Amino acid sequence: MVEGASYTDWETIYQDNVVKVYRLMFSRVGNRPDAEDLTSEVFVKSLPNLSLPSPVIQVNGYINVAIRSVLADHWRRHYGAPLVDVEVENIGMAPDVTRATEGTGRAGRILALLPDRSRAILELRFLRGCSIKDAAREMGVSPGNAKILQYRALRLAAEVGKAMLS
Amino acid sequence: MKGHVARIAAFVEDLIHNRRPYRFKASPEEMDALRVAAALASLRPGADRPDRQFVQGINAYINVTVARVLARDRQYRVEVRRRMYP
Repeated sequence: MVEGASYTDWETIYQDNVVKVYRLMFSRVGNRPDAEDLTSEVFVKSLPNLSLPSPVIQVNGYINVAIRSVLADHWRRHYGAPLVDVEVENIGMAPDVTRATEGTGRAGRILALLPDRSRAILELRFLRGCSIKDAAREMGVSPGNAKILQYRALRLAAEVGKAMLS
Repeated sequence: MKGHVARIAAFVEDLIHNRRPYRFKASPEEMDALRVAAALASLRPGADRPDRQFVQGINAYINVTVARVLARDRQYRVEVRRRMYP
């Protein structure tokens, strides 16, 4: 669907956007059950507000607003995060579903910037899917220490991520 | 009550197994760690590929839900008009 065109039915809106929305949600919540629920919520929230036919750019706008609101509500409801505006990439700017989303690309860059041990524990856990016991063995530490190392590495990664955005 | 290291470890463990993660009231520092962990979980090749059954099934679910919402809105507008212009 080209940018200047209009959507005339929900089916096409859904088909053009469902994978993009899902991947964006996954890059923000990191697990399938939540990503599926939030993707459904985005469409249920945005579609009834649209009158068809509607320009693609306007539909993308509705979907982007719904994504931000659904994500902010997710973190508030389940983890007590203050309700702040969540920054997400524009769904209309990511037409190629085979490419990494901006969120995934940034996560990779953050990992690359971490000190060796921090990067190692996160790679073992997130990229190789090692259990905490196996990761601890690879790192030559106890499982308890591996958990501490993991926590510190995540905090450091969060700081690196903030520095990248500022 | 788990400490922050254990809470984050439980959250990460769930992400690695692609389960709905452990919920808890997080401190601002924990919140930063949770968000970055969620982003890192999508780095595994193919991790963010949606399940085909989900993509197909959600379509029907959304059609029904949206139709229900629109019908409710239509009914609401009819009620409002009826009250304004009896």
